[in-house]
Amino acid sequence: MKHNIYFLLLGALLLATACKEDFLQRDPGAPISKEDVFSDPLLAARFADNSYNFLIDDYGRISQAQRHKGTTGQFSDEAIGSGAADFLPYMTVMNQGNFLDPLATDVVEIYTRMYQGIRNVNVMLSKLESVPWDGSPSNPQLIKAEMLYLRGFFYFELAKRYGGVVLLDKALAAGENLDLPRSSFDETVEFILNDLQEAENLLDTQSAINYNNQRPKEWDDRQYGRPTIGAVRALRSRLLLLAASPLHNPGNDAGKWKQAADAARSIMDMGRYSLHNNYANLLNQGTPINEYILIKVRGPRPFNSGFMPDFIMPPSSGGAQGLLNPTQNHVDLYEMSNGRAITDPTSGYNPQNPYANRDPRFYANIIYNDMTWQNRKIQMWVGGTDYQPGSSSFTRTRYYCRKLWPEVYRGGSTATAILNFVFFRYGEVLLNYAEALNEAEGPVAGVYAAVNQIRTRAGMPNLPTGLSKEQMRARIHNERAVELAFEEHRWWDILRWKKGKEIVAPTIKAMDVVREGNRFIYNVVPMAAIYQRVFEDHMHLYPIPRAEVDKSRGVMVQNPGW
Amino acid sequence: MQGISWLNYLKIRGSLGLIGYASVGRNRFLYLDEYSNGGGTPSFGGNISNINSRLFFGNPSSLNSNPSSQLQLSNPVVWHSKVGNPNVTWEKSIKRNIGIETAFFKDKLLINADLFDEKRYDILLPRDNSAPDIFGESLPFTNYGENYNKGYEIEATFRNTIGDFEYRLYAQLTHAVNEIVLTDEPVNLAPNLRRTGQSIDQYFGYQVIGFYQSLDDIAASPASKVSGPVIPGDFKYADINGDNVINDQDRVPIGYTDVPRNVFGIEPSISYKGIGLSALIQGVSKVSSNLIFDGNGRNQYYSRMLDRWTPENAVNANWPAMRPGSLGGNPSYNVNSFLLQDASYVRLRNIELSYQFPAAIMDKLKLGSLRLFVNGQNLLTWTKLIGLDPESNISRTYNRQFFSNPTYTYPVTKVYNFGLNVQF
Repeated sequence: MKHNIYFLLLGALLLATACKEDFLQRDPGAPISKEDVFSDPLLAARFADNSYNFLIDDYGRISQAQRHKGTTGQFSDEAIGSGAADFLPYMTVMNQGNFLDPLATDVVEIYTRMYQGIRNVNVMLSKLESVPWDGSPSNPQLIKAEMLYLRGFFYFELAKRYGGVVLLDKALAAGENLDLPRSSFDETVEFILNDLQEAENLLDTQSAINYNNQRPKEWDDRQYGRPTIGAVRALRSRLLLLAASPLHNPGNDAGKWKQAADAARSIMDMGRYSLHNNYANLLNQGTPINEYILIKVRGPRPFNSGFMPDFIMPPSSGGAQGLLNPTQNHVDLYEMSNGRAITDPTSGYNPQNPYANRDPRFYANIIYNDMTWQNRKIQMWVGGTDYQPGSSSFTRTRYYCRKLWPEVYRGGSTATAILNFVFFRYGEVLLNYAEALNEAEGPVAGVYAAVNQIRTRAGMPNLPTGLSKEQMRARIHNERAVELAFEEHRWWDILRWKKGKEIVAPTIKAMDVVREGNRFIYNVVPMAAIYQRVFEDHMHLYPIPRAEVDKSRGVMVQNPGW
Repeated sequence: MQGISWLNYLKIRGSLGLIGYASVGRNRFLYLDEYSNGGGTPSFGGNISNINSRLFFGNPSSLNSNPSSQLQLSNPVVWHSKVGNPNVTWEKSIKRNIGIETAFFKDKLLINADLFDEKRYDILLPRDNSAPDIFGESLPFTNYGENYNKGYEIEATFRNTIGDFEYRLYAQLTHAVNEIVLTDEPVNLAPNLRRTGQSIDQYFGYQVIGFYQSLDDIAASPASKVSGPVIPGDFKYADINGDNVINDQDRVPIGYTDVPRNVFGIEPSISYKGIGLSALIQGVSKVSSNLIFDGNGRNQYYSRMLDRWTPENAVNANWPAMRPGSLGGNPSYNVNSFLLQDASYVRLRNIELSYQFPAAIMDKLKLGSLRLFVNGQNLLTWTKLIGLDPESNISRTYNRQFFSNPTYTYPVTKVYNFGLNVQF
């Protein structure tokens, strides 16, 4: 009986302690209701955070089945996609100009994904006031700033593809009329600018536990990767440059270029950002550098799966498929180290020694024949280790992309490295500024200063003085192609310049390398038909996905030419 | 049945029913709206983030490439995991049936027939095909669709005994067709692509009108934007919408579905003094199969391809030209009226010869019964289908519009049995 009493006491104790567990602790994975989410600041902040996932936040993404394969540079003259069966169809629909094809993922999937992100933001904004934020570490005004920034980013991704789109500042209800008309491009730009301005004002005036109240306002280290004032201004700079460019500024209104120049200038004036000292390891910084304005924060990419082995590295270097192959067209854009284009007879360019004395960025971006790479010489001839005729796992152009291939990824090793996806870096801002200012005011000193800053960091001589506005424009276009190579800029630059027919449509070329004794014979050759591109004028704007036009009773208007 | 000597049994029957379906292969709780907390591993392999995955903020150098460590260091997210509709109700169907049962000539001939139809309505659909994607997430399921199914069944048995000789013939035929009356489709979808008015799971594909005979022929024809570039010897498809471009908008309903409209069986049997011979013959018709020999890019070739188009064999060609995989996608291997096959078949499902030992012998051996038999299954098949067995159709989950990695089921096997059946 005595024992029984102890047992009873023990039982009572167990019951009492059982309640001490935090029964409000949410078990991840268990379903919860909408009311639960927006009555708990922690859950509401997590709902807001999910909006980041809708950003286009990596390089390789064009293929549907193997999502780490394919960059937009491969739609342009920058690179081609060697022909792996599970990847090539996604490239060819774009290269052949079939943007309405269901396999054109950058047309079809991005449209849907951006509107999913916009809905997530709009739901969060509509609930922001009702969440009991008191006592939580989150400042709802900063969450609002993040949401507005992301909505602006999603609309920017839409605007650069489709022009004006349907603008939504609230989440639609299921029963509502969803057949809504597109706004004009200018209205879309205005909408984004408003979001960005409001976001900047909030980032400028608000503070929180993890957000400095010192100037310049920044997130603390553990929140690095959330948008800052610099990130807002960098997106505005890119947006206004798009709006001022020939695609959307047919009258070449200098005022638009001036606005774009001012937007870039506002970042330069912050004094917060500067160029990193080494162009070659720009993307590989695990600790943020002052050139980064906004990056996607990720750990090192694994050695054994995904982007590195299946997209970047050929079998000869321990990978499976080296599908990102820079073209000869791109290689020819690198000047000689004396600052002269290879087409200049005084440049010293020798077609039979084509890789000598080039812009140092060439060596940072491109893997080429006879280069020393991973402690050996690259062999791009027939019979050499790094090229195989007929095998689509090897390069088709005799080049691989070094910029997206940290040297530690190699056969016989499992070392990994950081390769950041950079949304915005200071180098782009300087080039945005130079381009816009040249268009607005001609090649004034500020234009030279910005471009020369980029060139000096790269180890290149300054631009020659006395360039005309047109000559300066050509130099800046070329500078962007080289400096920002493989960073998801080239294709979009060509579209906004309306230069697809001039740059994308001409013959895509490769290098033919023949080894004769201990010397090489180089011949520039046109690539096979499948790597050649169809580009017509209407392709500077993407079509609205066909299904979306089919769903509309004539309200959703397709872009001209499609 | 007084006075009618040849008819000894007659019954007419009918039924009418309203049936509700609560769980239609999907979630039973469609009315619930749910959010989830957690999320998948942050993207790190080199693709853009998967939505609803965890996020990482901070210095990249504080992460290593180990997925489980990335999961631990990252922030969970909350997302709308299920879009509920509090107004959902049952899917319903009205089933009607009228039948007749008869027996003639003292049960020597039995004939039963049924006529049926079914209207299924309030079918649960999310309306995602018709709602613009600007909505930004999946729409909830609503009671929307309607299908109609109708057909008949006939079975007849004739049996007779002449002394020790017995014979019996049984035959059966089922015919059923269905139609999508209302489904979730874009309002301006081209008429040739509409599923409304077609059978459920109707095949759609390109109409083959011949082979491209030369580069000049290709240049003079509407531009092909189906998969990769066309070469001489590829199928030439009809430009259904007349826009001078061949693309996915030119697909039309072709063939039938992979569910046969007609299914029949015949079962003859005879016996004489313990010796029995019986068979079961089965067949189907009005059925299609998208089974093809898609060897392109996968290094698989079939004897059928010996008949391919070549400049020399252009007249007798019975298969598109071979091409290197490096040309990109093969436009000829999209579902089309040539590749879609008639999967009708007649099959000797079973045949058996047996001997039942007489009762007198059984008594001496003190056994209940003793039966010796030999039989075989699937010994003979008559079909036009080329490739695999007509019954090994492509997995039903597979998207019918494109051929990519189809999943086949195992074909049926031939079986021979020899046996002795003893009962004590």
